[in-house]
Amino acid sequence: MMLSSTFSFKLRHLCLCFLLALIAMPGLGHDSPAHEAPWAVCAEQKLGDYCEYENGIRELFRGTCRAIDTHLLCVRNKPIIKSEQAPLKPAIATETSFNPADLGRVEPLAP
Amino acid sequence: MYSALSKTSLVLVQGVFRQRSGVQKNYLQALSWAILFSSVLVLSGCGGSGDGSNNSSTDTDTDTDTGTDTDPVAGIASVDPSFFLADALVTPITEESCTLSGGTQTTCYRIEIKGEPANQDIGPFCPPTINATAEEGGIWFDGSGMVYELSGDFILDLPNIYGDSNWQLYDAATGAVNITNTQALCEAGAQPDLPEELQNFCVECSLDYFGGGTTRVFLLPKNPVTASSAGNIGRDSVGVTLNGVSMDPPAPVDQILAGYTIAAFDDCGGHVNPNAGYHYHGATGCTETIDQTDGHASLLGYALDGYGIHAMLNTDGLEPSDLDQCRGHEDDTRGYHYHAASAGENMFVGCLTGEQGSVQ
Repeated sequence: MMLSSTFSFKLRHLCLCFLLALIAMPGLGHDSPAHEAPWAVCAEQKLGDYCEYENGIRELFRGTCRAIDTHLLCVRNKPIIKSEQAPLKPAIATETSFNPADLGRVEPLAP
Repeated sequence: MYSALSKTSLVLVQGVFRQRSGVQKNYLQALSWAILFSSVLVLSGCGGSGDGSNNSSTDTDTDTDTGTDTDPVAGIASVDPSFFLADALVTPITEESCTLSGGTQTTCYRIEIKGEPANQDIGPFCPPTINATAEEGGIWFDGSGMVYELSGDFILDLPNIYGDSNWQLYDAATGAVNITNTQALCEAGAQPDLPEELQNFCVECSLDYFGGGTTRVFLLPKNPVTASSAGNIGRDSVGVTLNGVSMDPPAPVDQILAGYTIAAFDDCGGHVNPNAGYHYHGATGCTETIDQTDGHASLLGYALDGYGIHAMLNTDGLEPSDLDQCRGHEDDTRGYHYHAASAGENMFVGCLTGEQGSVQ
């Protein structure tokens, strides 16, 4: 009975701590808007450092921290890696290869 | 939020500890504190404000990157004045002496643009109501890599997209979107630190408020000169498109969103502000006017250093994998040139490889 009680307590305790660790992990408990990611990943980096971030539809952007005005921004220089998993926000977000010409509202080129 | 979470976590763990004592408690305490400490470390590591408010010094480029990025080299291609649409220009392109950012004295092309695109109509920008379709509005991108269509659904979804219930860009009684539909509102909405009465607006401006396009003069080196180190992007234009529009640095999205505003772009990735007139913040396909014969991405304009800026994707739908940190590379046909980022990234190029001309 004593052993069982101890085991049960340990289990509950470890579960609680595991839950706390999960909350703290980036990408799980992290609910910062996606637009902050390219800046945030370079906030503690130096000019020219490697950087990567993921957006709200699980596309991976990899590049280098570059200076934009007075701040560092992750400038992608590798092709975007698209996740095979289902997008998080498929309702409104479109692909990054968005082409307004598809909407048929762009005037044709001047002759 | 994270510090609040950490405090909550701490209270929870301490509460559990108070229920037990002895060796068992000590063992579990040690384990728990180790996990909690790791959690706090991870939390503090993702505390970027997103407003770019870091303390990194970026005044000079001290890039010491020794990674696998391709080092830019002097290109063989140069600005071709005949590529610019005639209707994009105030006056024909001429040549004049100039001094580049690195001190090189050379000859530049003087390109005076009208400040409004020669091959497209401007707008629409903001959707008029929360029932509006995507065709009634333009687009919005915030640098995350995503492009949002500015429909009524987008307006309604703003609290979810940005995780803030204070977003309400419309009149709940009528469904009309709050739009800066006068010159005074347009000019006020373009300012930082908006007062509360100007928050929750979809900001759009008409060129008519300013008497048409804002003419600008670009001096681009006739023959690009590779700089000793890559030049950082500031607040000035990074280049000019062949249809006569300035390619601007990333829009200050954090500042815009902080005022609960959306500085709507039209479908071409451009918008109007009182200072710069109509300008682009991303390449969406409207400006790609010079096709290449070898399947390479089309040319859409020139950077301030005189190197060409091409579309992101080649005709096979693939993006080059050997771009340097400025988003440039070299090939035998075009020499050194850039590939624009996707519009959703709110930028064209990441830095400038060559010595820069100027823009007035």
